[in-house]
Amino acid sequence: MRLLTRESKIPAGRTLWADSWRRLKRNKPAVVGLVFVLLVLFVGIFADLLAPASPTDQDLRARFAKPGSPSKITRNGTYILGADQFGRDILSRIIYGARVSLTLAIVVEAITRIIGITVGSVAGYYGGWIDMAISRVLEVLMAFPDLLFYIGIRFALGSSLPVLILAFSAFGWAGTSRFVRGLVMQLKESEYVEAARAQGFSDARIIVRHILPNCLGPLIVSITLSIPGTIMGEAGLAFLGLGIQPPAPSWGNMIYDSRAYLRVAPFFGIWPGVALIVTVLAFNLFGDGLRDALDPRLKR
Amino acid sequence: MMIPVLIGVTLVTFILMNVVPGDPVIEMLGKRTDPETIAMVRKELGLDAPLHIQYLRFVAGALRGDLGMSYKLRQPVTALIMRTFPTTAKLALSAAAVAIAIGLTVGIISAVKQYSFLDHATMVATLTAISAPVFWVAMIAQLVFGYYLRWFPISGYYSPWHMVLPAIVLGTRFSASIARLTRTTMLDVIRQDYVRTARAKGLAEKIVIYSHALRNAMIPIVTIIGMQISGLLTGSFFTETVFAIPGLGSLAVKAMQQRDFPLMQGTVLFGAVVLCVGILIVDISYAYLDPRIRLE
Repeated sequence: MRLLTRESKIPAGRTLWADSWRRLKRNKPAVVGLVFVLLVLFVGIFADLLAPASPTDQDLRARFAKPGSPSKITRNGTYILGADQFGRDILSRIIYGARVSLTLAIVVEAITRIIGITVGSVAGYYGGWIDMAISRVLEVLMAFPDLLFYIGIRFALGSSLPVLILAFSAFGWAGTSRFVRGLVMQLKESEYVEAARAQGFSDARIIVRHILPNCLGPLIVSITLSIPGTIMGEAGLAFLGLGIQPPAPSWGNMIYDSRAYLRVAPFFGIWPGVALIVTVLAFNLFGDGLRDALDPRLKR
Repeated sequence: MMIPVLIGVTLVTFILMNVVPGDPVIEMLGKRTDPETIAMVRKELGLDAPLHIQYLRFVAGALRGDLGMSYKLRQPVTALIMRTFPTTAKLALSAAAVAIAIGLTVGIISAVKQYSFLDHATMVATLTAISAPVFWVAMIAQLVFGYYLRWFPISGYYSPWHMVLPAIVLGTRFSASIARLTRTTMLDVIRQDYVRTARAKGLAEKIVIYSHALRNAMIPIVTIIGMQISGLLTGSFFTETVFAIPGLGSLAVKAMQQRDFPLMQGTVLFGAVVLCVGILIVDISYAYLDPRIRLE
């Protein structure tokens, strides 16, 4: 498809991507989603510059200070969103929490997609007993209660960010494999793949240069829609006390901490939840819009 | 399909339990126990046997319904599961009822009134519901409806009334995905020729929607409901934890916080079985909904 757009006389700017971008721009919820996704990314990357305080600075005399009350530890002198049970600035912890959530989600995505795409395209392209064997393994992996695996691995290796990444990646690639396998199985029957084969290209070249570029659209959509899953997953583990351990901030462990003080300081539990929902919602809106834009036939 | 999954689950669970640092016997008896007692208890529990023998024993036991003894609670795991599972089943089923009732209604209305204000509003609302973590919603609902407004009991499970708020919280979350899918498939179906025919021959709109369109939209909807069973189970784990309901979820959470391995292993295996049975029921219901699909 790329070859075609480059060499035939389609007006400039009318590639698949340009077309999709035009459609996406018309979809208001998707644009709002995109803006918020970029905002969260920006906040995560520039957390050091944006946060009014260090996420671990404490002021025990300011425990549960209400939003807007004066503060000794923040740069602007107020706790904009209030203070937690150690007098730490909630806003700063949310800002640094964005970094943790996004790092986890993006690294997990990268690892699972690389493994998933490789395994999936091998299974889909070669078929036969290779496909049979891989598919059985995938079925078991997908039916496995992953929560247990996280718990086990956490007890075995502790719970730092790398361990969480490992835990989420270990099973996450199965879904991508299945997805890519299906796409490849469909595409390998198409005429341009047959043409490439007739030219004597190697299997690897056909898969990488001819089949995978055509899977890119659906893959991007599925990545966008699975990032919120990982973010929620971390929060869920943290809520059981199994996520990233304090004092390192994460939205999940903030919600976990806040539970004991909910009646005293409801805002402590509300803010990280709001941050989580807005982020997840933004990715979902953007992902939905992207899907409609990349494949107008699916327009509902 | 079910058997390799269950073998996989037992195997991975078993390996994990043995990779995890810490000696279960010392965990059970305390660090100050003398070595002879430890050796004796280890022998009694069969922990001195080679690992593959231990695994086969575990599987053989599980097939007979014997999942071993809980280290911390000193009771048979099977009995503990059987005591707590009905509570979880009640929560999950009432949540499912709430989810299906709200989901179908909202989905159908959205589809029939496509692009209306109501349609847009419900689609934003459902996406927000999907984006909200269930434990957070449960926590806030508990604070608002239990603590501030005092409409519902805050926690525990002493009467059916205690189950209402948890079921609504859990059900609402799952109603969102059902509503979205119902809308999509209904929109698909409404545009089909046979629906136009039904309208053309003068059938009432209600009959067209409910007996012509909805019946054919049900297959994908049932599929998504089936896929939600696993989410419903995990969701009820979180909901139980927040509302302090003594179900399977609370049991599992307690097991892992206390590192009670046989109990963890048992609850996970049991959860996997429930999941497989749920998927089987969904498969069977296809044949009922669509006579063209035969059970093989």
